[in-house]
Amino acid sequence: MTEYDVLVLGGGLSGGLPAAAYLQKAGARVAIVEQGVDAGRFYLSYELYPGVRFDHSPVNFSGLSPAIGDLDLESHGYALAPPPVTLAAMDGRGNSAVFYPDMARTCAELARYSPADADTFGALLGRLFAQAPALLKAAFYTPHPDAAAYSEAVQMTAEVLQMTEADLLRTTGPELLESLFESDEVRRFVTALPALNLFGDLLQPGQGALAWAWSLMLRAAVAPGGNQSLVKALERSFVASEGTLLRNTVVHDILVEGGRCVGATVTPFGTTDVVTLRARGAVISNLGAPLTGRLLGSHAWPALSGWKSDNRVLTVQDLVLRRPLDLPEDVAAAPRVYLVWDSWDECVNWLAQSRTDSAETYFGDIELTQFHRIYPGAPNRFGLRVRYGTGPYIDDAWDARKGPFAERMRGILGALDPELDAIVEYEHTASPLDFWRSNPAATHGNPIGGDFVGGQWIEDRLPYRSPVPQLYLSNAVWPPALSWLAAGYNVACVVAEDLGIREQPWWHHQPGSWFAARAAAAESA
Amino acid sequence: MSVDAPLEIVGRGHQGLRRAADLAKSGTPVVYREPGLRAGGRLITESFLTPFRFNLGPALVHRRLAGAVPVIEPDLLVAVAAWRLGRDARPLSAAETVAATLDASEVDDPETRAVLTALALLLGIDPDAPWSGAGIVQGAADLADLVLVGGGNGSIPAAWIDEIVAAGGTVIEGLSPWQPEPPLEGSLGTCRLFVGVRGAGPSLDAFATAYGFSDESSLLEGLSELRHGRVGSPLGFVLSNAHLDSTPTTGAITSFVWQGPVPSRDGAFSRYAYIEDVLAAVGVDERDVIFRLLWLPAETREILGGTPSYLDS
Ligand SMILES: Cc1cc2nc3c(=O)[nH]c(=O)nc-3n(C[C@H](O)[C@H](O)[C@H](O)COP(=O)(O)OP(=O)(O)OC[C@H]3O[C@@H](n4cnc5c(N)ncnc54)[C@H](O)[C@@H]3O)c2cc1C
Repeated sequence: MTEYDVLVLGGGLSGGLPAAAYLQKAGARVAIVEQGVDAGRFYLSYELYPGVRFDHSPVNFSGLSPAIGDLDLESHGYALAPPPVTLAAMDGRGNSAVFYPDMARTCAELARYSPADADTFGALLGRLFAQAPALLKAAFYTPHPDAAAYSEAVQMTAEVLQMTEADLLRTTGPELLESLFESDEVRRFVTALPALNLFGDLLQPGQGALAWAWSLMLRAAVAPGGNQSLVKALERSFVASEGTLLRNTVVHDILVEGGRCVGATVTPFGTTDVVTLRARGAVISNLGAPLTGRLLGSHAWPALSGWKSDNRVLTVQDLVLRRPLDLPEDVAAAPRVYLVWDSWDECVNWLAQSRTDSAETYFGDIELTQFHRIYPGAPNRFGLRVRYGTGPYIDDAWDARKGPFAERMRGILGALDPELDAIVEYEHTASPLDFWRSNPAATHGNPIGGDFVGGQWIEDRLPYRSPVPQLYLSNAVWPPALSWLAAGYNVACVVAEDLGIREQPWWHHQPGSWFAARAAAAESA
Repeated sequence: MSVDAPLEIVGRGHQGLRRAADLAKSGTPVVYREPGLRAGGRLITESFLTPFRFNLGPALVHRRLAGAVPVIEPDLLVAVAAWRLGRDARPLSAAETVAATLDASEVDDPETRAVLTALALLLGIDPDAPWSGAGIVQGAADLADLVLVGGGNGSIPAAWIDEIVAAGGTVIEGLSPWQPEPPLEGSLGTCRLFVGVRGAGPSLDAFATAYGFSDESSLLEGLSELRHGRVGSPLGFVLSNAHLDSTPTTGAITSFVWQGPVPSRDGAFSRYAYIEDVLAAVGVDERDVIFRLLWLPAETREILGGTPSYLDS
């Protein structure tokens, strides 16, 4: 039997891993129990052939996280760089817009459709970025539910959007876009990312407008060492401060004694041993609501088993091509390309459809990642990821569905590049069932820990401090998971407060400080 | 106390990483830079975008290498037709080739000749290569020490990296993704087909079950055909991956690795026809396949030669 101050169940990228690294650095004795060889199951990188690198999760939002500075991740081998091109959006009629870190260039792109919209977008982003650290803090890097922080976030967003708070809380995403932009194209192109349902149902009044506006703060960067270098840097920051990383170890039960959570039973992979690990101060479950409920057995509370993780999942198709996909020259330079709707009406109809159980949703907002733009590799093989817009889980019949899905997607890509069939060297499609099979913490393969369409927005997410004393949650909380590491940061804050170790000289970085430091350096240069 | 600049080590192989771990533990400040995605050379366990774990290099490692990482000892290592090889073999006296070594060691019965020749192939030894006799002598002597690693071979470098980091060292991976590799020397190399299926997969009664040959002479004939560039019905082994298949949340899924000798020249035969032939030979219905990926010798970088390729310290 082994005893720690804090036991972290599941070393996921967003929740468990950063939480463990913070708490260990703050002086607690922490152990992570992770089923995999590596932690961060959904954030690893791999090479389908030597030199053809892919990321499980291609978009890297870690530059927003205070953890980069607080945990000094760069000294643990993490390198992050701003991409020269952010993304491109393109419709089936040949219209497109390329978004750059340089706002003037982006506005010039949008001005092709409407100079007034370009001005509106530029001014809005200017106001948003000026507020970004405080807004990120209030909206995301706070252990919600927190009524005061939420109301502060609403107030700041209303200022950015130059509307009243009351109006903002009545406005859906499409209504906001229609009020801001006159151009059909601009409305669609700036909806490509928020439509992925990352943190809100765009059609809900209030929630929709906030989710759209907040998604503009989601600035991505690239990690030349592969996105898994973020996982590795977090693991190493943890191990360097003497944390215990139990790799290849599966959690079976969460132990509750005398009304308090006191530990877990685990089995090292490849053995039948059952080992009891005890925690004096806290157990953090990063295993998602349904699995946490099952492992707690009779100690589970109703909200855990009622949690909806059965919707808004992803399908992914990896292709190895003999040459890059044939795209218009400016679009081809983008690491990410969104294939979007042909009209604003189509977009709004799709948003409505995406709340239902229609499989068609998968073909409305398609994200291509051109990995050769991020990781220059072998000269004759090019990695292309196709990510189907979020859709319903549907049922367990995904093994049979993958083939027809992949074929239809080949048709869509073939319309862009008629030689597609001749240039595909390899193809693999992974379904939500595969993601669930590989990570039982993500029920039905749900990547963000819950379903906004199922009504689980800020106040309805699960609390970081659970009803079982000494048990904390770092998944199914607000904000959703993802690579900005907010859930792990927030749970570390509450556990550190409860253990009396929150005040640390190094624990002070602001959200977005990595981007701010880059901008300051560029200005002084 | 003098503050020394850390020792910079640039590495690809597992030995370099292990050395760095030893140095770090003995107090030398170390910075280990791995140009590729993962440190550990061929000791890599990869899931790709699947629920499975695959060892990308040889599955068998020498017990010494594993240190404290849990290992599994398969009872039966090789099955050829009705014949089985367990975990020990009688000592052999080396001659030039494998067949000459078996003759010199007075191994007469066809069963033992078949399984020992198959063992040679499993260990990446070309039974016709000069010094392959010495190779099989070594392989047979090490048999009892060849093990599978509980969480996959990648658990070993992961443990070494943790040791380096815990001792204050730094490990940096992935910053130069690709460098051209020199052309392969040797006519035959090892391919690996990584497969994940729904259901139980091929039935196996040893760690490595032979396909495409049933005795010593059909194995040698098959290799000779391959050497002439004739890739007929697949010859090789299905390697069990049972020790790496965890219980999924939903329904049974199984993985296995096909390992076989093929011509090492690029473009010598059709990748996809070969995959189809292997799946048909081992009795897997294409409709049950969740994942399949074939690495040819240009990708495994393994040439069939005279010495065993299992991973050693
Ligand atoms: C296909 C896909 C694409 C994505 N793309 C992006 C993207 O581009 N950008 C982005 O920011 N995010 C992306 N995400 C989301 C992001 O990867 C996840 O939100 C994030 O990794 C989740 O982290 P987490 O800590 O909340 O949970 P999880 O990763 O679910 O953490 C759970 C951990 O627990 C382990 N575990 C499970 N069961 C057990 C057990 N019984 N015992 C021990 N350990 C166990 C798992 O191996 C895992 O490491 C994507 C997700 C998916 C599925």
